[in-house]
Amino acid sequence: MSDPHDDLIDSLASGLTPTRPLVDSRLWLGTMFGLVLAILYVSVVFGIRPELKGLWGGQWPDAFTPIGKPLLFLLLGLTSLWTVTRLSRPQGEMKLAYWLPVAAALSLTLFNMTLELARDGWQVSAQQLNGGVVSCFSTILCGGLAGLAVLWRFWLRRAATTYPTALAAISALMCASLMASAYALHCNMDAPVYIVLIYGLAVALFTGVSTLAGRRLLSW
Amino acid sequence: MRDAQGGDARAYRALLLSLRPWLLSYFKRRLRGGDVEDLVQMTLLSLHEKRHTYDPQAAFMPWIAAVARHKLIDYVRKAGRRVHIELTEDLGLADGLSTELAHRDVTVLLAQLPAEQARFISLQRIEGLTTDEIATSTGKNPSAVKVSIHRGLKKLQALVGVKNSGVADE
Repeated sequence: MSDPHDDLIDSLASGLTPTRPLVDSRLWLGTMFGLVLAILYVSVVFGIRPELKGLWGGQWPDAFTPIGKPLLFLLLGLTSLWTVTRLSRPQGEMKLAYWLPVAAALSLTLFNMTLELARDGWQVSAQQLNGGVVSCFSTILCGGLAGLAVLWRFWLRRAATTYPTALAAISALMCASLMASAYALHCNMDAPVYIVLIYGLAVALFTGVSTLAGRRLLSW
Repeated sequence: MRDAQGGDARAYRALLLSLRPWLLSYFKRRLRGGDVEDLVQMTLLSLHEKRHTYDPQAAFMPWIAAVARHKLIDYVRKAGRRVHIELTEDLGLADGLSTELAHRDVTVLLAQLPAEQARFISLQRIEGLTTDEIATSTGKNPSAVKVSIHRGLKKLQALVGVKNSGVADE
């Protein structure tokens, strides 16, 4: 009589098919391709803001914000991408260091917003929230969703993480941040209060909802 | 496992057969009062489903240990009852680790260190030489050998995900 445990091993071995291992460089390459598509979309549909167009002609903008805003979200997106590669395998560890760039970016923006609010008051600051809110929100949410769907198809559904909630959150943060960095190439709303309340809220909303939905999908 | 990812059924069967006793021992040591056999089967199934997450360039045992640990935690959570569980991180021969797998992992891990450092560690930990003997045979300063081995072992611990367990020099 055969051992039932060996039967399982026999059946797993007999049904074995070749499989392609997860390769981090493919994720990086795919994400960069997606980012280029997002930038193309924003430049064709909305147009790139004049200060950034001027950079091609060697003209440096008066303020750093037109460059700093896309860079801030790009940094956030790339850090999240790096974290996604670290968390996608069973032995991936959750480390505080992964969240430091996120905390630094958030602190910097919140600090600037607080300064602005203290200087101008809410009434004046609130006026800087008028303009492009719908397109900002819809681009980040829809673009992030498209990115997350592709990420799920090619990477996340094959992942085996020990931290499903964290991986769901960081994946959504990555997609929303990269989409926000692409949209920021067009958007000329540079007030910290706008970056926190409009960009920040769109990214946070997308991340929160995706985390709730994704944590179950990433369980294995 | 690399051969298994390529579709070699014989190598895969041999791997699963050699892992079974290790998994049994791993779960028996950490879980008292649970169905260890069930857990072994669930882990083998998960290993099969997620075999593409193993990086062929990395050591194998930290990967399978992480899969086993995940299934153990999942089992305890789903069992919804109190079970005694010990989450020790040591992955040694005490769990019946196959020497073939251990040798393969040691080779993979040492390959990630600078050649000289890997050689010092190999001479001390595998050949059994003392620091002075290594220093004499390689013409290096004993203190430099000692420091190099200490740092190398710490790097190896980090590579297999062992946290601050302290490294004994000799």
